[in-house]
Amino acid sequence: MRRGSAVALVALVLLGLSGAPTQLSGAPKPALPVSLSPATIEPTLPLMIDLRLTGQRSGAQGGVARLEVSLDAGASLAEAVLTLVLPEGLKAEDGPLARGLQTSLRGGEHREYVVPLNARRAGLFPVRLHASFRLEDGRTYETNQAVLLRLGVRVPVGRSNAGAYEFMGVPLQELSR
Amino acid sequence: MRRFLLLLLLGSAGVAPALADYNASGRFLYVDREFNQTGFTGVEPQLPIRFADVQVVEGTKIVGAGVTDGQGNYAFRVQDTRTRDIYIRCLARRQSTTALPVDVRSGNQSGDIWSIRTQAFLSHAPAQDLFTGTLVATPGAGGEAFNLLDTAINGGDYLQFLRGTGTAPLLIVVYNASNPNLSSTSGSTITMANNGGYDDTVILHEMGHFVVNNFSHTNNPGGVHHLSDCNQNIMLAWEEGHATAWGLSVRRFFNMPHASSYVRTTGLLGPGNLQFYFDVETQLPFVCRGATSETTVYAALWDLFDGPGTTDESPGVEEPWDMLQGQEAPYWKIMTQYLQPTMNISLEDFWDGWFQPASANGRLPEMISVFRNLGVEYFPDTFEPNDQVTEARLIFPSAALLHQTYFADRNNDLLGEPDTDVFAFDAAGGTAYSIETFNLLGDANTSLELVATNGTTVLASNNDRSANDASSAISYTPAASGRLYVRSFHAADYGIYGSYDLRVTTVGAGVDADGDGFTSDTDCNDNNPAVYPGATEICNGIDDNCNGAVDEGFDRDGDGYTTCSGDCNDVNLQIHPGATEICNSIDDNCNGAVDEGFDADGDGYTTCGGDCNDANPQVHPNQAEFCNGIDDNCNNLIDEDFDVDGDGYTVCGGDCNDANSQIHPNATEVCNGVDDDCDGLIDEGFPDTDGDGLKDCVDPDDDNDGVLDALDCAPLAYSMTHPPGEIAETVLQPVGSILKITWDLVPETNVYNLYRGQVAVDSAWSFQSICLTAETVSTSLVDAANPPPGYLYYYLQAGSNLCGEGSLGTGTGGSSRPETLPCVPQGRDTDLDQVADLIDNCPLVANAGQADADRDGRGDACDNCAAVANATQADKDANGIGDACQDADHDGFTADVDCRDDDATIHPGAAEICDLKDNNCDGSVDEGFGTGAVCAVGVGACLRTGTVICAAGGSTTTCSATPGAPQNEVCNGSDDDCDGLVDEGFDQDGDGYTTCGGDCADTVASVHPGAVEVFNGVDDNCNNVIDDVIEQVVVTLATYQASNSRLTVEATTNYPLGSVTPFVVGFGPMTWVPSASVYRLVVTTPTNPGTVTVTSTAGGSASRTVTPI
Repeated sequence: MRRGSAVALVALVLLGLSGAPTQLSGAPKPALPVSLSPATIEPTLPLMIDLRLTGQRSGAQGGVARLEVSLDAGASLAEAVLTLVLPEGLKAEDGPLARGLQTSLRGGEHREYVVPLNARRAGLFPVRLHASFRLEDGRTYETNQAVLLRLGVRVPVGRSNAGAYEFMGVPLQELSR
Repeated sequence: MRRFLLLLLLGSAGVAPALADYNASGRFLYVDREFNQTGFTGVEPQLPIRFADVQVVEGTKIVGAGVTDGQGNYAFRVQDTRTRDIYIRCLARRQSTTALPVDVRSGNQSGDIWSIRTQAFLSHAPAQDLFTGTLVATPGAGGEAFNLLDTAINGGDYLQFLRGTGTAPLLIVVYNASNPNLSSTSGSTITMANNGGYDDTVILHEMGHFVVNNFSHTNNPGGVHHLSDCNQNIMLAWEEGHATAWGLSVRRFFNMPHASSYVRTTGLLGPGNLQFYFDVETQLPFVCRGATSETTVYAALWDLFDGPGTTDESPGVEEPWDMLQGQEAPYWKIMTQYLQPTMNISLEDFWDGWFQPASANGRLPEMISVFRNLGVEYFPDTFEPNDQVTEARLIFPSAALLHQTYFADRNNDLLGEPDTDVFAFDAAGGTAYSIETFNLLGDANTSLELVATNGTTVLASNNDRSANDASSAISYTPAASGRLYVRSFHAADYGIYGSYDLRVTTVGAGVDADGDGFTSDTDCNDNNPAVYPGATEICNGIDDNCNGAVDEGFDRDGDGYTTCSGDCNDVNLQIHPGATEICNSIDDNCNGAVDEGFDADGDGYTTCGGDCNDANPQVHPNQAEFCNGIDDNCNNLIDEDFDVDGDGYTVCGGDCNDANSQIHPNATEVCNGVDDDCDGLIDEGFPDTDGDGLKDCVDPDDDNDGVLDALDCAPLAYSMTHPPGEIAETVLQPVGSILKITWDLVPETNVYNLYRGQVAVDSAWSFQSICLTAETVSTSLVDAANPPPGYLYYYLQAGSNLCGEGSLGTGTGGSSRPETLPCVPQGRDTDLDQVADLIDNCPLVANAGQADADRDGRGDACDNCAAVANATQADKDANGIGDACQDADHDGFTADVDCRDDDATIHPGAAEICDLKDNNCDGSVDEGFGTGAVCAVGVGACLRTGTVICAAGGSTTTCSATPGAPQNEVCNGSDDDCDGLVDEGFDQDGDGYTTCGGDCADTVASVHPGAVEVFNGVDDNCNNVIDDVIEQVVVTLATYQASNSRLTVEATTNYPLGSVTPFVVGFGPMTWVPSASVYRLVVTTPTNPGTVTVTSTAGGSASRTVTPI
């Protein structure tokens, strides 16, 4: 004996709404249509960090950019500490994240920060945000998110042609040098 | 029909060119990035791009195609007839009818395929083989896409292992920098995060969803889910946990390192860059219990598959509770058969599927062991059967927690059934009772009813204790004494199983001191608000949830120690704090030290590790053996090998060379460059002329003049090494009636011999030289004698030193000039300094010390450049200062190297400018400017040539020519108006072809040479033939149904309907089927032909493998 009638009723309603197949029994089939379930998303931590760079401008003496940080808390997070880690040659203008942010977030809370960045030279700058936090049950976790700032450095660009997005391959002997 | 006949005529006339094949070959690799629990390791091997499409491309046309093999190599034949500009590319695409086909696309679901390409091969001849070498896709330039392809291929191969060979739907992986930073799956499409190109475990997790979507069934509501969430939707927990277990099983299947680790990175280059990781074997760091956590699901499934040999973080070791491995076959059967028609799928259904009669996988004890360890209790509790009032178990109200499972199995078929737990207790009238559930695990959504003595009347009930708390609580005070019943059942939701604790207690006068909502009669610590019945148990050494157990779930190996109480290996019960440390290279007692107590001298070697003296840190294995009378290296030998040469002396006995028996303390010192007698001195008592520490007997250059003794004719005199060279130049200068003879100084020479001969004017020369002056210290001489009438004198000079007399030169024919009366040594000491002129480096200046600071053979007392070696004493301007010491123009370069010591702008190293001078003294004038070379000015018809000449200022050059005058542009293939463009204005339709370039319709852009010919009544490609279309036949279906011997073939052609008739070779013509828009032939044939070929009356042909159905 399996699920009770009340449970089955709930399932039928859900399946009907989603348009999923309603086959409840019968012999197994070798091939099935694709399940029409909602999109699945990769596992995450209860603190999701998204970093985006905007307004990049390069000059003879370096350049500037804006780092847009968005935080989404999937649970109540206490003792959250966010630290911006910048490489040599790149500095952040004074602000909460630049100083190192200690805060708490409620479950479902969304926050956004903007950090102006100044570079003394052209080049590639890995911008990292380290975060640690504590859950209500006492468990603590940490994570990182990062983005690469390019100032005055060409981004490798492919081209679309005849159904393919093409990059030039690198001869093995050049890679070995 | 007319078109068909035309093609036949062309073919029969031999106009169509013959095919010319060529081989295309090479190899494609991609840069992989290895990882572990710290992120990227920095190891980036180059791996083959396997089973990927390779194409030969001309412009936008594919003119040849092949596939790489398992090593990334490709080799295929290309049929061609024309010289083309082509390149070759490798696509992140695997096409297969027997394994999983994969596309890695850019942009979106229907976007372009990622690829890497070669350089262009211009004017490639059709019969010329093409080898492209090895090309690599690198991070940021295709490496991520090919890593995703390679990982997906591994996933596909694991899928094939599970289900066997067969067709599978196309897996589309979309990867692009503009994607979100979270990966997702919908149907058969995986959208990878923009920073996840090298996160193999992420794409494999998403492939787990793809597998379920296409081969099983799911009710996962989807969306964002957190690993730390221990109370997830039970259907989401199942699907997500399964996806992770499936993905990492791919790595386990291929014995890849860190197979149990899920690693998510930031994607940045370089080592590290970890976002987070977790281990499916231990669940760490996201430990949850119960089926409402994806971490529980993946840990449970992992334990079904893995074994001691799994390449996880503890290879060779398996947890004591995990007694299963290699259960892929029953797992896959459940996924593809039992779960397909099931609803509300969760771990509960997987359990039931395992024990279905059709599966009958058994192994109940092992399954319970694995699942119970993760807080999943799919078995009846100890109070069963107690499903109804008549079976009610009598209890007595107390603080005790009664552990229950919602799992009934009344017929013992191992399949779970909805369970109701009924208890009875004898209540006292007027006493308040509290009936509560706690510690809900695995979707145990409790609901409580308090039933009256009659067994039917419900006195009180509660489903959820609060809006966010699925546990239940009833408070009730009966008016009269009597037996009451407590009925507990699973509230309606998606699951039916789970476990919980039940407590029936009297409500006393207890207080709630810590304000956590529980009074002291139920709160096991009323001074700690974090401790109360139902609290989450955490590893902290206390009973947080008041269930009587401390840190339950945190001692997996059952050794009595939890991870937070110091167990440094919770999968090995022999290892824990307090264990006896044994000599085994393991920290058995978790004190941070390995084998402590077995290395008393602290030399890093224990007694069980071979230390033969644990009281002396200088004695241990791998120690060098010293000559000290003890066994330093613990090989049971003392001072072994310290008298290797067998001369009776050891190294510590004074033998300074134990490889030579002739050397020891009692040997006789001989002059050989060696300390024979080991007294610390080499060749003591033997001469050392130059005082350089090397005795003459072993010094290869005794006088230290830079010439080896074997090549030095005066090995003990540093100022000379060979006989004097020939005198370079002699000047005869009449001075009145006498003759002054002057000659150049010869290096390494202090004295000169002057010879004079006499010959008749009217007779042939015959040298009869006699010594006129011997060993003169001067370089000039005056001869007052006059030859007799009819004769003349000739003079010859030669330098002389310890090595002998220099040459007098050679006569006609190269013969030596004879000396009738040679000069003989004089032994003079002109300057009376007690050094004979022959060896005196300053024969005219007394210098008994013979000081010669620059060691050029000329003593300081007479050296015109005493600080710089200049053996020739060269002094071009005869000012008494040697050229080697003179810098007249003060440009930093002395006259011996400065080609113009009177011009400071000219010297070695100066910048050469274009001025007709040798500015840098390299012997060349204006080198590097290319003067005199042919040059051109102007473009197109204005082009003129001249020669390169210096421009004013000397820094640049110019061309001597002047460009011609531009003319009006006409269509002739030339740039008449000299603007860099050819025939501009003669391509009205902008199709890239001019009228004089072959465009037969310059008002129609689609018509030009090279255009694709289509059926339109127009000569599209300007080859003077209308609609000469090559037929393309495609076999769209070929099946053979064995049950009725029916062969079905379907095909299409690009020729208009009715203009052609396709035939299945060997089976007959095909018929047009309007409803399906294909040509079809259905015939009965006794066997499957394997392959069918369709040919058309317009010449097209194609084949296809027949699929059995």
